Amino acid sequence: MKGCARLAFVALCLFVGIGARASDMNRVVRAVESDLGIRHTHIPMLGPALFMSRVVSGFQMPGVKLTVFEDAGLSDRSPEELQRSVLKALGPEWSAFIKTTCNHGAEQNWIFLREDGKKLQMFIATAERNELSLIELKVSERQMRRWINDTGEMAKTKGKSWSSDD
Amino acid sequence: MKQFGIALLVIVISAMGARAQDFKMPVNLDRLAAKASETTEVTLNGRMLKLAQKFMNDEDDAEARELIKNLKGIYVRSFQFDSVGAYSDADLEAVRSQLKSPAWEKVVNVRSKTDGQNAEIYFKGDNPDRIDGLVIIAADPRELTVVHIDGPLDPSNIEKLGGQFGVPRVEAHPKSKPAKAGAQ
Repeated sequence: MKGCARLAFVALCLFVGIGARASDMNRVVRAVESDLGIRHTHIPMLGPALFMSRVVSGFQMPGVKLTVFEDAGLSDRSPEELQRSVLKALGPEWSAFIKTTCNHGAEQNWIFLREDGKKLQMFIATAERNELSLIELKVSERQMRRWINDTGEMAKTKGKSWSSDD
Repeated sequence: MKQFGIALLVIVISAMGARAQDFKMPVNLDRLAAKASETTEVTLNGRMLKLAQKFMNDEDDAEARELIKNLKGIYVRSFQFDSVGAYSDADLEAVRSQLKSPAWEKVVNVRSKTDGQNAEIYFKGDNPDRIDGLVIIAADPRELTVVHIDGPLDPSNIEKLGGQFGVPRVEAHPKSKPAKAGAQ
């Protein structure tokens, strides 16, 4: 029994290790925390909630990772500083695709893309005065085609439609 | 040895000339972002365009896929301002100064005195059947958009790119040979 527990512990460590290495989100969160001296906000039950959303949608909804920073220190940072930190952590395989600003620069959105086999991986960063939200998701071919036809609409609706596979 | 030196000089001058023809979104445009209420920046470099083509598999996308097949990049900068006069003609000087003849030719120049809507379209290259690049400056008192399409393109297909990839809709009907600068 003790052996089984040890085996389970090793398997869990391996699983967590592989997951951490594979996730761009983890890398970006660590880089942003280190570069900007802020900590991400813990959202209770976020993981199970996102998983349940996938179950409810019959696993049609793409896998989404979400991290939110709520920190007063963010307002002292320039948008360029935030963008630099995120892009540096993402690495050269990611390309900055769209950047939008609203309310005289008070709200900034960046969309980065990367090819991931037959899917497209998307990383969205939205920065407001004291808040930075990071979203990582894989986009279906159909959704991407729709957005390619209207990149402006993509930037505006990025927060509304990322969870739908339509 | 002297001949080698001359040949080298010719190569260097040619390389400098070729570089001078390239258009780059000027840094001062980014500074306009500070004055703008809303900005949009679309960057589709060669790698991104190739990626986009992979996702354009439908029959409906065939035309657009063919259009972007040989392009090197599509770059869009768009600014919206709260008030009139937030930007000046001088802000566009860094754009226009790169679009000089003989490499570039202004084929459309529309200036409206009534609503202040101005549009300029520049073609790169002197081949009437194929252009090597395109720059559009669309300006009205509260909005400014600069589009740079880098790469070979059939002039008759320009309209088809309008409304896609962040490119505004344009109606350009150049004749077999682009008109000279300042055409109204």
